[in-house]
Amino acid sequence: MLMKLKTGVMLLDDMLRGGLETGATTLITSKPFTEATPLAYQVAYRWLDAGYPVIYLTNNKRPDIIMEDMKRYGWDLTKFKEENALVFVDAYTGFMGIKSEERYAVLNPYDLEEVDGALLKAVNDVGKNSLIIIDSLSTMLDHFGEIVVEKFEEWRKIAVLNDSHMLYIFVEWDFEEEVKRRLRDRVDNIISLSPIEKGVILSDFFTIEKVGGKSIKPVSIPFRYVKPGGMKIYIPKILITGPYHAGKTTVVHALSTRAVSVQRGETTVALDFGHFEHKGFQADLFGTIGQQRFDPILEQLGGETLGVILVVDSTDPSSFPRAIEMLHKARVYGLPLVVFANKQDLPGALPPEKVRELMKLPKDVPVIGTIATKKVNIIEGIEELLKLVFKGVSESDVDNP
Amino acid sequence: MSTTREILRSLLMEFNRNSGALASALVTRDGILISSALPEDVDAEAFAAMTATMVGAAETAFSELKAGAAERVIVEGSRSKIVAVGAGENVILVAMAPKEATLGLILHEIRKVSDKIKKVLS
Ligand SMILES: Nc1nc2c(ncn2[C@@H]2O[C@H](COP(=O)(O)OP(=O)(O)OP(=O)(O)O)[C@@H](O)[C@H]2O)c(=O)[nH]1
Ligand SMILES: [Mg+2]
Repeated sequence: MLMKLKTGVMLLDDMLRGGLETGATTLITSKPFTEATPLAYQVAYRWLDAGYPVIYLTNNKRPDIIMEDMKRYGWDLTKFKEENALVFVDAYTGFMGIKSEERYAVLNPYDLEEVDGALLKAVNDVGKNSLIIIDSLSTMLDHFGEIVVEKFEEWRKIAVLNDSHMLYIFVEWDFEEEVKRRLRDRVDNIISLSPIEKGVILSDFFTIEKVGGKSIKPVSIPFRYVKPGGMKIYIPKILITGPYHAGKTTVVHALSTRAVSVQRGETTVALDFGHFEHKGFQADLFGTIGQQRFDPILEQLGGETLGVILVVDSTDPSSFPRAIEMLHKARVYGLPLVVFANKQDLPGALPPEKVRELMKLPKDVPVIGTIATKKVNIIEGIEELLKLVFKGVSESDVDNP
Repeated sequence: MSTTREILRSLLMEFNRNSGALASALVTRDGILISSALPEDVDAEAFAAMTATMVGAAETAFSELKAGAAERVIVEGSRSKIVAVGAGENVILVAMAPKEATLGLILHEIRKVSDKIKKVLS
């Protein structure tokens, strides 16, 4: 029976059309220095947690090191290992001339047939619906050369016959383009992880290049790994701006797991900074000053913003022109924007639609009635913003013409 | 290519050793963390955002006063001091050192490492 299991990473599952399917093969390809293994750990955990077995073939670190590493990311899999739901095919310890304690040990890891034999035995023993992780394909290519591409074809059949999912970790160091192309042709899904330099900032991005055997238009999503927690989508800057006293600081604190503000009395004199975390997303929130005399700081803080929350006091329409002016000053006009029509609890608060009208906002800018002090509609509001920032991602599964 | 991150981090660690700084970070002028060699329990992103704001405010104060350009920001605290200096067009290098550390040495090391950083980032 075919089944699909989620990776647990937001957007990644959307782009994979629901997750990883049994009978299929996935390549996680990464550039050196962008780690792929934590994502594999995360998928392994998901699989085990759902009650299905995982086979982990390693040829570049010891199984106990992997177990420890997994624990650091928040997944203690000891119980699963004791129950033999998680088994290692140890094709690494043999390199040291030491005998591995794993049940599926490869005595001579330089012998591809022996590696293959141990893997097949494990696959037969643990049964159907397993996840088979090969960590890593790049090390295999180093040791055995191009013959691995043929093995690849055989293992693909195993995945199909056994209703398993094959997950390969592939670090793209100096391999020939031809070899890479042949590998890419032979897998159903390609998840690619790579650092992108934007000016002086380096961030890691994931991209889905292929799903269900078809190439798709790649969309890059910024991420980082956290311990514990694993892969999280990460936005380095969401700007929270708006006129004096509108409720920006209150919004930043209401959204943050941790936040700091530079305040003098009730007003912000430098900035609010907070860490936001919700449903697999992380973002750093930059709340600006509101008072005009601090505008130089506002002008300076806008750079690198990916999305904006504009907070206005719904009882004070005279401040609305200032709100729009602030978007221009911070040079964030035109970026994904959500307006918080705040202080809806106060008498005389204008309803969101009236705020939209007076601010002459385009139809596609969500205006949300909020009460920041009571956290009303705050999370819903930032969810709208995230949707805008990642707009087109879930629809990206349109095939390339 | 992708090793830039590792290089920057090792430059910062080397800087900490040579200058006696306890911590250092590279931050963009708009407050985003590029790289850091900070103690584990420091909130690196918050530190980055605050540093950029501090430098920006100092620069604005200077230009409002028509007092030339601000070259560095030095804050003396009760137990430590913070020194922030431009290291390239859009980059600030910030270091935190114990109160007793010699400012001259820190500034000298900052100049040295800034040159290297500029090369890595260009
Ligand atoms: N009734 C009500 N009061 C609110 C709401 N949101 C914020 N406030 C209050 O409004 C005042 C200003 O809130 P802040 O969050 O400091 O506003 P700010 O926009 O950061 O202000 P500046 O930094 O000075 O520009 C505080 O007293 C808040 O408690 C709300 O939804 N309803
Ligand atoms: Mg404030």
